[in-house]
Amino acid sequence: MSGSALVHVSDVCKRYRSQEVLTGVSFQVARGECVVLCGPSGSGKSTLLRCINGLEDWNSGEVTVDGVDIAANAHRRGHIGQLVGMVFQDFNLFPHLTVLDNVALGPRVLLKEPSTKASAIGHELLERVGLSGHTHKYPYELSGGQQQRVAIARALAMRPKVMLFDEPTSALDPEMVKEVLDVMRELAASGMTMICVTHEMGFARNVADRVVFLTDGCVCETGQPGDFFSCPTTPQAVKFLSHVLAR
Amino acid sequence: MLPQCAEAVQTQPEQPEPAARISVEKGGLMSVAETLESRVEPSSEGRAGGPRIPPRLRRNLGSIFWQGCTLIAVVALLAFLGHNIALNLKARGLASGFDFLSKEAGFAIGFSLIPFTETDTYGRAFIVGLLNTIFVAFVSMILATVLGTIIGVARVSKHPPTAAAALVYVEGLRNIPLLLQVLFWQQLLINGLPGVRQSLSFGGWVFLNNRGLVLPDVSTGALPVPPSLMAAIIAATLIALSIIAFRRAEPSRRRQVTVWGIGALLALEVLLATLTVDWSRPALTGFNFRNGVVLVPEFVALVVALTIYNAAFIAEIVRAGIESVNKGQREAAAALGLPPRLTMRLIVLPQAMRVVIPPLANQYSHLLKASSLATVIGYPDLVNVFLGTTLNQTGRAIEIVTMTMAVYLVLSALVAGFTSWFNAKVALVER
Repeated sequence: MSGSALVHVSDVCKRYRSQEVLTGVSFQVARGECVVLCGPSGSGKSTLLRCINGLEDWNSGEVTVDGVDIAANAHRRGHIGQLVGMVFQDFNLFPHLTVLDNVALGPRVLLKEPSTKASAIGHELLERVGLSGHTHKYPYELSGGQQQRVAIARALAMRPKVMLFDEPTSALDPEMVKEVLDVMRELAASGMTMICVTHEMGFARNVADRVVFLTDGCVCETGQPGDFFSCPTTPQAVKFLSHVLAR
Repeated sequence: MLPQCAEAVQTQPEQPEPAARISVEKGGLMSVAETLESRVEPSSEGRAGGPRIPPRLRRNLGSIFWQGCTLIAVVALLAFLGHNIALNLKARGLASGFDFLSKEAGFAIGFSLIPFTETDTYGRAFIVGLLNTIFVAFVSMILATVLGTIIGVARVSKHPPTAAAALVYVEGLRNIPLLLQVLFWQQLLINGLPGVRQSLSFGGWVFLNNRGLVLPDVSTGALPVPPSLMAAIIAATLIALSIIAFRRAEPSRRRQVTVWGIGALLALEVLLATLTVDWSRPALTGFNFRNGVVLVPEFVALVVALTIYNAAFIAEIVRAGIESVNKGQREAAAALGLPPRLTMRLIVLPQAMRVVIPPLANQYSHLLKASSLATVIGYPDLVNVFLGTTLNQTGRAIEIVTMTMAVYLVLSALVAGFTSWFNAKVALVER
């Protein structure tokens, strides 16, 4: 199992001054697996995700993706960008570039593709997320859901081995959540390795291969979604699910 | 004294003239108000049955009345001042008018972009001063922008010594009066640099000594025919290629294609110009340099002072622009795999632009006006040549001061106009 895993997180600890954010997190994600990270607010989900692509540094422990030590390569952004793609809660599209340029920027600048090839990659990915008619618009001309789909296309353009989603639907109006989740579902079905921090329990139940439940900076419980939602074993998970599912 | 008094008394009866003008103005305004009233009357009569002015129009009439009063007061004041000026000039026996511009100046100018000798006119001296002002301000603006951007970026550097050095630069230089800095650089250049015979040489082409900066000269002889023919062929090919590329490009790429096309043409021009034009290398013969353009120390001192001082302010403007860009933008760029340098160039600086340009326009306007400090170190700018020497020799104070003010006004307006045009272009791309 551990030999075929794509993402290894072993015993990662992180402190902000005296605040312990991660207290020895360990888990693995296999190739093609879709893992949902959930847990109460402040449990360190987003921080853990940001450690996996080196946006945050940590105090002890090790993270490897496809055999590459992230801590040792944190300064080689271009290298990590081709391993790990990330989608943010606030989309963070580049407002001065068109939708197409947002997507084609990575291939053109970092993968050194010729401009026409980069545009072709952009067109293809935008079509895949259902936005082929919006290529020459600027991000502000799009709805939140459309912007988030562009952000997914932008991350995919670097052909990463694993995609990280940091609460991708939390900043969206309710009627736009579905279009983003549909894209993510399609992505999971296509075999992409995904780690998602989300409060969409329906997505976790239906799409995820595994749920990793974090509390107080460490993995509290992990299991198949069916087992996790129907019979959680730890009291923390029971409490969390009673809050979340009561909505 | 006596004849002057007599003259003054004689002119007394002319005093009522402005008063007459005022009454004319008033009459004009009154009639406007009357016509407005008469125009309104029929409709209001139709509705209310009485000659009433609607309240909105009445308020407008009130504001028209007060605006009219202000206008009359200003015109009256100007007329009063103008009249007195005319009287005083006459009393002192001074002539007025712009005829002096075509008279022989009789003085030499130490540094000019166009040929100027003592037998040229004051008008040409004005042009020389104007060009010198534009030249020194333009060179300083470009250098200050480049230096300021570099220091502004250094200011937000994660590398502590770099950020600290930039901070010291900014705080040190923007808190010393510009006048002192101008004098400092002048003294340093004149006293700190070696004499002509011990000039600092930069590759044998550029020399620096206490008489200025010596640059290679270009002799603009007739271009040989074959290169210009070749240039025309290459240029035509480039233009054709650009047009094809433009047609084929995605609409969002077209701007880029245009810029590259124009850039390639300009590069070609510069390359051919450099190759075909005769560069004459400065050579030390006897006590001075032959075959070179000398930028006088005053020019160099002024450019250095204006650049260094304004770069400190521009650095702060650039820093504010950089910090105005959302942190999420950097994170997104980092997550995509862009290293810090590319993130700055491709993501942060383009977005910072829209915040940077309006205050930058202010700084350019300041720089332009501050270039008149040239006069204290003797660089022959507009103020020095025109407001100084020309005024001293001709005594046409009003004309000269007005012309000089008009020049600064027009130049500042041009700078402001250009920057706001540029701002509109950048803003259009982003929002």
